[in-house]
Amino acid sequence: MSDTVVRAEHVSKRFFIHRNHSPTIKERVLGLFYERHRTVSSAFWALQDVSLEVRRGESLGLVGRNGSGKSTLLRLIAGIHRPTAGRMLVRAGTRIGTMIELGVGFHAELSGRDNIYLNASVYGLTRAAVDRIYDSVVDYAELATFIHEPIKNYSSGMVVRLAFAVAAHLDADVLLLDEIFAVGDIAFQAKCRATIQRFMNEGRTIVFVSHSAPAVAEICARVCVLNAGRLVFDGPAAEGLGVHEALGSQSPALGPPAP
Amino acid sequence: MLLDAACGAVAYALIVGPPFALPGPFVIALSGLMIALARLYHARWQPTWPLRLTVAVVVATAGTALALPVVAPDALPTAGIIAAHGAALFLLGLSWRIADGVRYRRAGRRARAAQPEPYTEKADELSSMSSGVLHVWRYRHLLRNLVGKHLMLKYRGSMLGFAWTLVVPLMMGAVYVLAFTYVLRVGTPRFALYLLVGLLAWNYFAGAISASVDAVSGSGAMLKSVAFPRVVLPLSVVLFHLVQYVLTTAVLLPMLMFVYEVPLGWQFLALPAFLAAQTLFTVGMALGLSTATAIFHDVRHLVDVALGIGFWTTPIVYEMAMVPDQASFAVLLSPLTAYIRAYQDILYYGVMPDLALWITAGTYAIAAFVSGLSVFLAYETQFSELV
Repeated sequence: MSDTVVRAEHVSKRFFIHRNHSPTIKERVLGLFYERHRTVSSAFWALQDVSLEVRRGESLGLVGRNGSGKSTLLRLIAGIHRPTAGRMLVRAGTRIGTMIELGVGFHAELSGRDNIYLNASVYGLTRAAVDRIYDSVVDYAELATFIHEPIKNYSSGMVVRLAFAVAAHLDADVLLLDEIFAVGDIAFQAKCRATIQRFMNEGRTIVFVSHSAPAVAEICARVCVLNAGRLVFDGPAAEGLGVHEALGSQSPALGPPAP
Repeated sequence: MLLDAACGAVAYALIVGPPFALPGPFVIALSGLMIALARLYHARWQPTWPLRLTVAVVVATAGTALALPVVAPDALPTAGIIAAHGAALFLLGLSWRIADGVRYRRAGRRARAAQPEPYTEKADELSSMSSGVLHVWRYRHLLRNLVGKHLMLKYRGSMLGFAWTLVVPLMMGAVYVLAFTYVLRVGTPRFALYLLVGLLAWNYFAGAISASVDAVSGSGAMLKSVAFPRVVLPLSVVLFHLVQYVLTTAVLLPMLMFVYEVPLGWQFLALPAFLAAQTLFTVGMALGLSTATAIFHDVRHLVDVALGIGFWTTPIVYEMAMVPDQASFAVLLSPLTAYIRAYQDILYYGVMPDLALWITAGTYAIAAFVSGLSVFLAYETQFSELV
């Protein structure tokens, strides 16, 4: 109990799906008079009554089919969304590193160097902190010769490498990873894996969302399976991946993508 | 609610009553009505305290201004009176609200000391005003990098670089000078100086506002993938325009002062104060409008129209003295009038801005900032779903 860093208490999240909706004052006013300008909203529960605890130093895999609420759960832990019901608690003073999307804030016209500073500061790093990790980031991304070029001249692989390099240097207690294994060539992928292994050895907590069973099996000792917004399994990885596979063979019941 | 009304009534009776010998019941009834209106407004939306107060003040001020010529035609209030009573009402409410907040925090601290709670709700960290400001401080490097990004993007790869920032207002100014001295013949001496002082300040405001309405709705990817204080988005846009304005003024002003022999004096010390107040005002408007645009996308069109109207209801190309009495209310209530008149007092007339301008400028700044910030913070956690 005392080493729990993230704790979800009966967390639910509802999104609204709007049909023929354009969010303008004009539509709102016309909607008063004409039926077809009225917005039809339907509620969609992306998560329902999910309770779980993540302990310090643990690596937890979140698996489930598309639309099962994995990414929504990750965003709730990160504090990007707020739960509709229930409480999402994080131990006071825990630094959370979010790798939901790589290269947040990247701008094509800016140089690799400027983008490193911008991207790292989105995660709350100070300038001094970025100065400290800068050389290591450039090394890691293997981009030393291009670092002063605007990144619009980079290949897409180079951009992703740069983005992952910054993410790999975030000094966080809890790392939230969303499907980031598909970056770079085989050699760089091996490097990514080694980095995540290093995070685990350093005793950081990892919450990992993936569709790839081998990747989850490699990293995570514990797996949570989500299905249609509900937590259907929480336990050892091998067993959980079995549950996930069994769900996958059932008829599809996809929810819409979470906003 | 009762306290609201009492607060409003006392402030009105004290400030508007004596100078005009207005019928007291009328004043109290009017302010009560206006605050009731504000209360209605509040009941439909999220309860945010400062916003409610500000709306009450704005509505009451405008209401009094409109009703006074009818009720007491001889007692047309001057800008100073309008400003002073608005300021008193607002500051009274604000200090009350702050006292409330302090009491609340102290109670919270006592409760935490009695029973330590090891967990925090991540999404709740940003919702209070004081912690909102603290978070921006923690993310100051993001703010700095965003301002730097805007600056780099603006001047990278352009032939004249920073010179564009000087050329555009100078060309606009030249057109206005030609039109107003040769075609319309306004007869203001040293018209180019008068015009540029107002025009540059207006461009700062209008540029910052029209760029910041999209600050939230245009940052979807960032909002959906990282939790950071969203306030930095509109704030960085305003600060970028502030940097531009200061640089432009720093280059143009000494030139103009040399050409037109503006007397250097104590009044120059007031310049940074009014600039800070205008910036605070602009930040508040940017926060409120970027929130509104995230909810209703067509707000940006309304903003464009409002800016177009604002330019002509603010004494930029004409002098305050030229405005006929019937229209002076519209001009005096135009939010940027106080700031621009202060700049003109300092740089054109060479006098210290009078007390009414100080009060108006300060009140508008605090009112816009507090209400803009509270609206922004009330919707901040929904931005990731709205855009």
